[in-house]
Amino acid sequence: MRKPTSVLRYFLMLAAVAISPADAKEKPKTSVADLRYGVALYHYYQQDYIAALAELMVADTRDGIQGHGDNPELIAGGVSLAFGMQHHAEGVFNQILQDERRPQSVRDAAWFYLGKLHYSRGDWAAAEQSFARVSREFKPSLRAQMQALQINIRIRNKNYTDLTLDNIDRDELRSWSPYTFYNLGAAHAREGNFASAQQFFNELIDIDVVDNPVRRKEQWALQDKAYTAMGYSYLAEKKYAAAIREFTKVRLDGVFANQALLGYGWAAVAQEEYDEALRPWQLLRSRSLMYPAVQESLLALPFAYEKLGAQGEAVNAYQSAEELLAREINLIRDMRATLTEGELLTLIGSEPLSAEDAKKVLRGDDAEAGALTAVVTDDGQNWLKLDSTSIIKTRSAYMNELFAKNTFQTAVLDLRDLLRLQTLLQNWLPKLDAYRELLLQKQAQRDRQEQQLAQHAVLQQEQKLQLERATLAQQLAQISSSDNYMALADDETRALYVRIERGQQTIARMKSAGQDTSELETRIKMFGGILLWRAAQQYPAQLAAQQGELKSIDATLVNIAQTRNNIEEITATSIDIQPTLARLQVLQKEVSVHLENTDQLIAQQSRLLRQQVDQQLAAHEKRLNNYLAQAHLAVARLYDAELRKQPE
Amino acid sequence: MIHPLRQWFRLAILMSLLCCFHVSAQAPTKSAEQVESLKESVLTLNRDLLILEEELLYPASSQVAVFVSMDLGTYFALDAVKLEINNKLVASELYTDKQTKALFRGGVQRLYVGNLKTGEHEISAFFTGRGPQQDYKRGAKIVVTKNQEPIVLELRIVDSSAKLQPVFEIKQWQM
Repeated sequence: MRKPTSVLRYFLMLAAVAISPADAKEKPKTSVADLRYGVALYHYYQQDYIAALAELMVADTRDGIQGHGDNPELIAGGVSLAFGMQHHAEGVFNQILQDERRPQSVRDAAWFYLGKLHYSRGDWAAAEQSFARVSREFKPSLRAQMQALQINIRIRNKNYTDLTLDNIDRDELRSWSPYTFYNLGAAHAREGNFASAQQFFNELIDIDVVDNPVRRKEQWALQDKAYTAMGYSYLAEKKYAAAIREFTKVRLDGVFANQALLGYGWAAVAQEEYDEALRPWQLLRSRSLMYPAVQESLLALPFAYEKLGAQGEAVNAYQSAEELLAREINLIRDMRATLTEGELLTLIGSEPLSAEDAKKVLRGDDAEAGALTAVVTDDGQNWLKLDSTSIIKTRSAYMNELFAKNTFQTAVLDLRDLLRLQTLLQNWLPKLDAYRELLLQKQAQRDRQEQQLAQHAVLQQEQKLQLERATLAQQLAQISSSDNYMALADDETRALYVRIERGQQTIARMKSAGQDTSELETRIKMFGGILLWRAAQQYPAQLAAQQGELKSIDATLVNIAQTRNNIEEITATSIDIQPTLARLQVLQKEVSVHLENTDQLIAQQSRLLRQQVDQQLAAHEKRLNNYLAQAHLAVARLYDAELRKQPE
Repeated sequence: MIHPLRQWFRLAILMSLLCCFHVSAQAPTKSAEQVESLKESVLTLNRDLLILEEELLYPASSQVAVFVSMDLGTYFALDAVKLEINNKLVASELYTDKQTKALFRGGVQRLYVGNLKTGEHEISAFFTGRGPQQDYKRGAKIVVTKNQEPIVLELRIVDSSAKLQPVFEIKQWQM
C-alpha cells in the first residue's frame, strides 16, 4: 500500500513523473525536434537524473533546446525535484511563471508543482495560494491530486468540519478519494468525533475494489486500516461489541492484523470475556516478536490467564516472555553494534536492483543467511531494508518506523545522491589527467608544425617546383608548336646533329671563299636528313615522357598544397591549446575541491544517519527492557502470591 | 482492570492509525541545504567538464554523432543495434527493458560520438529484435560527406502501419 508517511522525495517525484510529456499507454510518442531533448528524456525515464540534468544544462549553455516549447523547462524542474534539488526546481517554476505569455497549461503545471513544493515543506499558506492559481482546465488526474492536498491543508488548519460526504465530489477526487476519506475520518477521530469518523471510514469501505492488482492491494490495506481505526474508535467509546465486529473484518494476513488482534483482545477483556481475549492474543503471541503489538501480547496473554484464575499458565507465559524478550534485546544490541556508519554507507551505495531482483532478495533466494542486504529499488523510490533471514527481518521491523520518517528517507536519498556525485567526480579525475596529457602532446605537435611553417620549407619547395614546372611546360609548348624533333632527340643524335650544323657552317665559309662544295653539301644534307629522321622517330615517345614528367610535377605540387592547407587548417581551426590547458587546470582543481567537500558531507550525513538508526534501536531496546522488567515483576508477584497462599 | 501501560499503548496505536496520508512535511534543514548546494555546484562543474571534453575530443570539424530513436511498439521489440563506419564496427548496444521503455516513451539514445576525416563515408546500422510474427535482423545504410560541420545521424525505428512491420531508416540532421 501507499505508505502513510511516504518518502518526501517520492511524493515530489510523483510530480516529476507527472510532468513527463508522453505517457506510454495513453499517447504514442512523437519524434523529437531536438535530439538533446530526447537524450535528456532517455536518461530521465531511466532515473538517471545526473545525466538528464547534464544534457539539459549543456544544451542550455549553448543555444538551448529548440522546438519543444516549455517542455524542457518543466522537465528540468521535474528532474531537479526528483534529484532532491527543491530550490533549483522552485527557481525554474518561478521563472516560468514570471513570463505572462506562457500557455495556461504550462502556468497551471508550474503553479501546481510549486504548490506541492510548499506543501512538502509545510508552508500551508503558500501551498494554498499556489493551488488557488491553477485553472479549472488543468489536467484532471493532477487536479484530483491537488484537491486531495487542499483538503489535507484544511485538515491541518482544523478547517474541515464543513466537509461532508454530501459536498465532496468523489468523481473529481478520482483515485485520491479513499485517502481523502481516510484522512477526514482520522481527523474527526482525533477530535473525538467518532460518529463522523465512522461515516467517512464506512464510505471508504464501501468504495468498489478496483481491478488493478496493485491498486487493489492498496485499497485492501486502506480498508483494513479503516476497520482497525474504527475498532479502536469504538473501543474509545466503550462500544466493545462494535469494536470486536470491526476488528474481525481485518484480513489476518494484512499489515494491520496484529493491531486488530490486540484490539480484539482488549475489547473482550473490557467486557470481562477473558476466554474470548485468549484466542486473538494466543494467535498474536505465535507471531514474530518484531511487531510492537506482538510484544504487547507477551504481557497481555498472562494477564488474561490471571483473570481466568489460571495462575500456573500465567507464570509460564510470563517466564516465556522473559526468555523471548531477553533474546530479542540481545538481537537489538547486536544490530546496534553491526550497523556502523561504514555498513550504512555500503548499504546505501549498493547498486540499485531491478524490481524483480529486489523481490528475489527480499524472498531470500540469493542472499547469504544472516547477511545484511540493501534493497534499493530502481523505480524512483529508495528503500533501505535489511533482510534475508527471519532474524534480520525481525530486526528490520524495528526500523520500519524510522524508515517511514521523511527525515530518515531524505537523509538516505541525499546520502545516495552524494555517493553518486562522489563517483562522478572520482571518474573525472583520471580523465582530466589524460586530457591534460593529450593537450600537451597537441602543443608539442603544434610547435613542430609552426616551426615548419616558420621556415617556409613547404612553401619554398612549392615555389621551386612551380618554377620548374613553368619552364618545362614552356619548353614543351615551344617544341610542340615548332615540331622541333631534335630538341627531344637522344644525346648521340643531338651531338651528331651539332656536328652537322658545324659542317654546314664550314661549307658556307668554303663556299664564300670560292671553293666547290656541291658534293659536301649533298652528303651533309643526307646525313642531316638521316639524323632528323631518327629524331622524328623518337619524338612521340620523348614528348609523351616529357608530358608525363610535367604531370608528375603537377601531382607533387598538389600534395605540397594539400600539406600546406592541412597545416594552415590545423593552426587556424584547432582549439587554442594554452587557454584550454589553463581552463582544464582550473577545472581539475575544482574537481578536487568538490570531491573533498563531497567526502566531508558524506561523512557528516552518514554520522547523522547512524545516530538516527542507533536512537531508534535504543528506543526499542528501552521499550523491550521495560516489558522485561514488568514480566520479572509479574513473575515475582505471582510467586509471592502463591507463597502467601501456602500454610506456614 | 487494564494496566496503565496498556491504556497508553492503545492510545499510541489509535494515534498511529489516525495519521493522515500525505500530510507530513519537512522544512529544509541546514544539512539538506548544504547537500542541495553541493549538488548544484557539482552539476555545474560537470556541465563545464562535459563541454570541455567535447571540444577536446570531438571538435565540430570532425565530429560525428549517432542517435537511436523508436517510434513504434506494435511490430518490433528492440534487442540490439550495431553501428559500422566504413565497414568497421564502432558501437553496439544490447538493450535492457528499461532502455527500450525509455526509447519507446520518447527518449533518444546517444549511441556513438566519434571523429571522421573530411570526405565520403559509409555508415551502416544493423538492428535485431522481435516482432509479433518473426524475429528481425535488418540493416540500413547511408553515405555521408564530411566537411567542416558535424554530422548528426538518427537511427530511426518506426512502425509502418501500411506494411504492418517495422521500418528502419537513417536520418541525417542538418546542423
